Amino acid sequence: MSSSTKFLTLKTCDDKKFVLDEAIAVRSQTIKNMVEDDCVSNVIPLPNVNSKTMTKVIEYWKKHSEEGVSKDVLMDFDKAFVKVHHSILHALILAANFLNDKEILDMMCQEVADRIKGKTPEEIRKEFDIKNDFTPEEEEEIRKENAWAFE
Amino acid sequence: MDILIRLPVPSLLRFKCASKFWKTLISDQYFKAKHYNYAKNNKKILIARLISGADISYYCSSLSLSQPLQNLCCPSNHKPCNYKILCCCNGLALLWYRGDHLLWNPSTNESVQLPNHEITSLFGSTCGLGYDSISDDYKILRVEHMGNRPGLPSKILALKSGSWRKIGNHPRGFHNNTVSSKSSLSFVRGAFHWLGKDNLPKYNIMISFNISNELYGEISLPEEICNISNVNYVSCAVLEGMLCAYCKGRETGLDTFKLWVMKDYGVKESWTKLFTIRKTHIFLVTPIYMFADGEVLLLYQEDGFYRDFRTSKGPYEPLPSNRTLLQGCVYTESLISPKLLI
Repeated sequence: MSSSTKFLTLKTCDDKKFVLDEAIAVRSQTIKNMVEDDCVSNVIPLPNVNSKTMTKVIEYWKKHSEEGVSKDVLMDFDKAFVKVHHSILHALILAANFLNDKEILDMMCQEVADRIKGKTPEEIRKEFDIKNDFTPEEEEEIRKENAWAFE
Repeated sequence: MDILIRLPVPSLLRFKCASKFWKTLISDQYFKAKHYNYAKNNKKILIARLISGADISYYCSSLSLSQPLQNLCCPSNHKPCNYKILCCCNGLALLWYRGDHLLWNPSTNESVQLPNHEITSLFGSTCGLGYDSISDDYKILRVEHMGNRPGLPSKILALKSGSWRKIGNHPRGFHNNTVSSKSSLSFVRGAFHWLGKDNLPKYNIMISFNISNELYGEISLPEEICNISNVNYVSCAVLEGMLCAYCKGRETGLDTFKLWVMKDYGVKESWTKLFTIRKTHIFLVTPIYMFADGEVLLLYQEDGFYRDFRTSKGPYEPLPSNRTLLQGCVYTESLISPKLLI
């Protein structure tokens, strides 16, 4: 029995093309749906993902599709994979969301959560570019209510 | 939001003052429910220890990640603080001290005093806390122990109603098992469960009480538990959503503890014995939690004084022995506000 490998071409927003084994690309629920609905002509456009981010995603997909990789190796890979600058982390979350890859999305959200859980409100505002719209009195009130959480 | 539901409660309380939008989001019911659903995967244990005199201090720790014990604030402004933990349900703990009941969320450190009720049986009583999804209300059932005489009726407190209400006892007039004062009523499938005795000696039966329709039921115990002689106590608990029954007795010169789980609720044939512990001395064992690999965390007391945590296989390393341990109870971190429930 012979199995023929089918390839898909993905095109990112900066016009870079990625040729990928269909069996790997369908880790993305979005791409899987397109393939199943038969609306894949030759090139799949990914208007919300840039090539730098897509390279990372494909790196993850390939590693997790390899045969005979031990759990420990994958865990080490994942640990190294999330150690990126927060701008890349945010881009990966948006990409995983668009591609509908729950595995990557979960991992990235957990990483962001781990990074911010110990931060102060000031650091959070800076990290997410949030404007403080409380009056000093209002803010003091909320701080008092949960004073122990600030210790 | 996918990121925020993964955060521990103290971080979220802190981030409430990042901006008005964050405060609204974190205080929102839908967000609280989503956060709770996520936190269910990472259960925590609430621990009470006796410190100087009668003062109690409270701690928490994660059951899935190795984490040092965290000190919790005192649940009440009353000093000294010596509320006993009776039981936990979802993110809430029911505490008791000399007739005062307190409903406490250990994660947000918010608590609310519950209405008092007058009579208490000489033989003590056992409480349980459960959530009624039909009326979207938390309910507390208090079952009085009756010694050898049928006696006081049980009482139920629906938080939204604000007062205790008497309910009739089991139609067949079972005696409630007095040993259960050391544990709480087991809540699963919308009903409380506890052990009772028929008038015939040594005939144990599990009694259930559905908190939505207030109907009693009976559940047969495993054959073996009914036939063991020299039994000190028989009781029940809930592990991983499964009802379990356990007993302690003396066999061939050794104290023996046995535990069964009911894999299919209400199906007598599905009772499965999980393990047996035999030791020279066992005073009291209470099952607390079942890990993913099936191991069971136990609150274990060898003699009259010394309690610690063990599993079915041996000592439980993450929670080191401590001579002053009183109680342990499993809960989920949540933003649920006890004040908004009454």
